Amino acid sequence: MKRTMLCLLALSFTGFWILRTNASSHREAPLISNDPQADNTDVYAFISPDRPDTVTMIANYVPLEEPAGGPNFASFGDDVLYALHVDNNGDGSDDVSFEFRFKTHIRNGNTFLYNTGPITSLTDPDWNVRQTYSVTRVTRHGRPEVLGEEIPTPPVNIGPRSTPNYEALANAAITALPDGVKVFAGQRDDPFFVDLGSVFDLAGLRPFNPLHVIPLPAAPGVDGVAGFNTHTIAIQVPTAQLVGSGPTIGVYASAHRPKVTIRGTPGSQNTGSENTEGPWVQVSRLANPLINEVVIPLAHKDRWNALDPENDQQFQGFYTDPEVTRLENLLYPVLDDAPTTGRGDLVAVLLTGVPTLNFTGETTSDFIRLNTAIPPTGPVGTGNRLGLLAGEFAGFPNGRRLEDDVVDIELRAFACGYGPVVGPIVASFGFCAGNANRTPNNLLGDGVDQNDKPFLTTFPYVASPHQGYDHRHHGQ
Amino acid sequence: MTRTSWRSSPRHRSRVKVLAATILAAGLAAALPRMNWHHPERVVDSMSIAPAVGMPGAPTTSADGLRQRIADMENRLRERPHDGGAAVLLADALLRQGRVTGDGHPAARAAEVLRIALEDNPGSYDALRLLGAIDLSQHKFRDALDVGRRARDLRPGDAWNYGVIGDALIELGEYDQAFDAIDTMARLRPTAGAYARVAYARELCGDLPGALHAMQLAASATASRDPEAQAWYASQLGELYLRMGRLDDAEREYRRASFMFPDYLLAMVGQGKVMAAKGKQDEALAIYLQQLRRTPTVDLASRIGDLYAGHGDTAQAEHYYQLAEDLAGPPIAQTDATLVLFLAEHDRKLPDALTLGKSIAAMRSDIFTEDALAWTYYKTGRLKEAFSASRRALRTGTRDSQILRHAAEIEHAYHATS
Repeated sequence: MKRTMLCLLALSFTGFWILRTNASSHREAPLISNDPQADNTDVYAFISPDRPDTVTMIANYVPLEEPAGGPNFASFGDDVLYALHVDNNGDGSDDVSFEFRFKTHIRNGNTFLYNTGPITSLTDPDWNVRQTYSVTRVTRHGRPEVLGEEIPTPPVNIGPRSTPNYEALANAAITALPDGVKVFAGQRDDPFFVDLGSVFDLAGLRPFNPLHVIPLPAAPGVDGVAGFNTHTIAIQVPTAQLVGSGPTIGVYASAHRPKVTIRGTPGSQNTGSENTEGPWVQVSRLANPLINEVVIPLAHKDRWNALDPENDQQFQGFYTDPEVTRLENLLYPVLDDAPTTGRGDLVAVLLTGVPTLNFTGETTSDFIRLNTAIPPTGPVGTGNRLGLLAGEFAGFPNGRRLEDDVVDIELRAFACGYGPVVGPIVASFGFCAGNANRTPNNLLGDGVDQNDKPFLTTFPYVASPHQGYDHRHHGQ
Repeated sequence: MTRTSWRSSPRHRSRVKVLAATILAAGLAAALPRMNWHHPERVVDSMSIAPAVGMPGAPTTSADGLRQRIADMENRLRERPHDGGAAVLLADALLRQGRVTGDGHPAARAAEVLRIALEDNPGSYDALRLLGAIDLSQHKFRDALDVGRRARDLRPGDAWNYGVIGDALIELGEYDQAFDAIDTMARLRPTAGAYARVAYARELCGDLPGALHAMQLAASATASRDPEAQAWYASQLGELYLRMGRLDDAEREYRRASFMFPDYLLAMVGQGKVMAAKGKQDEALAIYLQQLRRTPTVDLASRIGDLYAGHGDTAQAEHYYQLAEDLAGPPIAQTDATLVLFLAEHDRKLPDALTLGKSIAAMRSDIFTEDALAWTYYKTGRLKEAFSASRRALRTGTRDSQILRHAAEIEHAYHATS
């Protein structure tokens, strides 16, 4: 008893003095691992409408970037390897890939400011913190070829004083590389559109609010990504340089950071850094939208992100027995319950390609599959938002265009609400228990149907970034 | 039961609500492309409230952002005292706040709200995981180790827990196990937190260039929306440059930290250390005095006393040495060897210092505790014990200048007498 009292006394003393003295004298590095620079947000792949002999691939990084991001503006990571990968024979592994490495240049070491005057050109001496990058093409059997080095990126869009005439700066950063390849890397408007606020709230879809198990009045969707920027890597490549024997290619994007260990190779001591920085570790990958978010369960996400698509067979069960469908059935009693097991249709759409459209063989791997033989329907931004579901074979899930409303398309696909064009075809394969055009499943949507900014009709197609100066965001 | 009856009956509705929430908590969310779903450690069970501070869609970790988040979540807890999600978000922001000022009060409040959250919901993984970090900041290393291991067993794929385990083991001096945990953390996912721990481990092993490189990777892997972490990493780079004698580089990094987060404690004290190392005693003294008014610590009072002693002002020196002792509190409050080393370095209360040093060394055997003990043995004339404690302080291969200086003197004296 006495001992307990003493212990208690000791504890309270310790607590008191810890408050008085520096409680953080030991080295507590932050534990949280928010790494937006190495975080894929979206990947797009489509035939360039204005250069139809080329494919445009777009990989976005840095989620929900606030336009007013100073003094420490968002950028690409100097220690990140960014890559876009193309599989052209359906085996799930890279045949052609493009690697991007960024390098920050500080012009004036005496200031930490991004700029010390208006930035009027990509070589403006007032622009203090610039980034350039290199592009390397890696083919399966060839040596890596550096296609370009010291390629400029535009500054971030700060405001009328720092970045007047922003469009000219951005256009100057579009760079032609050898072999007809074009690249752009820099800040852009985030082209994705989704009602984040509502879907975050127990999978709410505002137009369907009265039909949710916790009903609310119906309301139009609110684009939760509107007004946010992102960092875009866009590359346009002649189709002939990407395809194999067939016209369909698979595309995914990734981000990698260097592997480190404390001690060097066994037997060596105090080796310094050179022996302990191993190869790259993939920390993020992305192809089809929302897979990482809604298909792969939480406990598997880090491993899924670290693996290449050729290893995706092990995750197939999450596609055939999707939790999303179970949730849709549960939360929206009005829906015609879609099967929650044996969903071969989702395997086709997301892992092997759709027969006669963009099927690449039996290997199951998460790629955006693009049949390059299907011509675009019109300029960027003019396609039907429902893509294939609306009968547009040039739209998602054949590739992914900027205007494709992938949230609505996937919500409907998971609920076996493929619509009148695709539904009967899916059902003819025996999927969705014979009914793939269920109602009202074929009307599901978050009520956000287009991006907040119009897309460009020429490369890099993604709209210019929102400007920090005139931008107020979300009460932050 | 028909579906319409679910909607019309509140009881059933709440059942569905719970069921739906359970499914969500099990890892399913609807179309959430970019909130915090990519990685499990980003998801708090407060997911219906907001992402953690510094994350996309949340306030940044600037002074204003932290204040705003703390006020918001305190308000929310006043309205709903058992809101576990708000407790986790509040504790997370308080932990950051504590690091900004070096003040222990925020961590104490964080521990309190997490304790309530865990009483309400003992299965709350996010509260448990965060408790490990709070325990660390309160120097409850054994508790942190225990919590970290429990959380690791629940989610072996979550890198966070290996960080908690590694930090606790390093403080306890169990380096082999600590390094294994940190390597596991870095292998699972190389993040800023993992790089920084690799850096510190390398520094302990005497590999300063390797430490610098890993810390640079950490700094560059930090979100621009996280100025608090940016300032922390820049300050650590400053420390490393200081240890390497690269004073201008150190000064630049400390200034960068202050630019990222004005008045960041580590950065301000660091600038004082650079001034002292450059022989600019007056500038150093001014900085230390200013910071001491803000956050009174043993370290600052001791440094100020040393500067006055260097000027020959023994009265002022004694004033601040006494303040250092007062700030340290009674022996029972000591969780590390800071006070022991202070007493031994300044030839104060040496018998007490030795008693205290031995009792701390019974709790933890990290190299800094062993060094303080060795130096106290030396000052009290017990060369044999000093020598063997000093050997233990050198066991990781550290290049720490103070440990090396003590070891050299002890070894010299030991061999001279034996």
